[in-house]
Amino acid sequence: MAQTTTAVNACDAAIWLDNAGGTLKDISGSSNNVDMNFDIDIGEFKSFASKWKARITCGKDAEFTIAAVYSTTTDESLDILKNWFFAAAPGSRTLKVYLPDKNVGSDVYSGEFVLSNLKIPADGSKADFIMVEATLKPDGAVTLTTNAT
Amino acid sequence: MTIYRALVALEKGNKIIQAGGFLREHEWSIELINKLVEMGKVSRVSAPPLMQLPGWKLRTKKLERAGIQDADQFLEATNESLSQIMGASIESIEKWKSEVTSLLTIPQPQG
Repeated sequence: MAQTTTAVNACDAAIWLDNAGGTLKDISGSSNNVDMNFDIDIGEFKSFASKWKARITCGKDAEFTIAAVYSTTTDESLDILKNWFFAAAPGSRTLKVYLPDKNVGSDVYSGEFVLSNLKIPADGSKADFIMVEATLKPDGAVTLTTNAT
Repeated sequence: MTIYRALVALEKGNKIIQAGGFLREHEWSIELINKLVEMGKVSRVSAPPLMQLPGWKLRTKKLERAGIQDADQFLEATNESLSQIMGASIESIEKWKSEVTSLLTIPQPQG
């Protein structure tokens, strides 16, 4: 098997998230990591007839974790995330992750998400930028499409 | 005039074309289509003659007089011109286009 020539990294990935007005905003400039975890519910059983377990699949779920830079500009990652959390009715918002970049042919992971957790570590002994971590869970299906824009 | 089949789900702005659906040349730039073809994300569809579609024998006779023989020619023609050719309302044309679109679309399993 020949070695792949199409391996990519995440350096140019793009992340877009709805702001409070429901407009998708590019937050790639104020975030530097997104972990996308996908799960399938599995049921299992073992019978006397076999030493090996049998498994069947059922529901699907996901959890996305975004690392955002603590900045003070409107519609950057943290501004959107903290307004989302502190909104009277946080609700669900659209999130899109483009890999490896936002060009034609890239993968687009997209869905409606609720904000599950927002972690803001404030350590007075560190000179590093404050990195905020937000955990998002889908409200419905996460879709995978190919970017054609 | 050519139509292409989406081999994967495609996202164009707010519109999603599911895998198995198709895109029409005039709605997409040719550069974009060529790029997607090159990447193996879409492929050209050989549209069947209208005569071969179930229930289309009579309609095809009218369309053939105007040089429209294949499904892609029918889908690419404007509703107004088809309305004149077939002596039918715009609503009927839209319904027939939707029917042809369904016949050309490959249903995909949910998941």
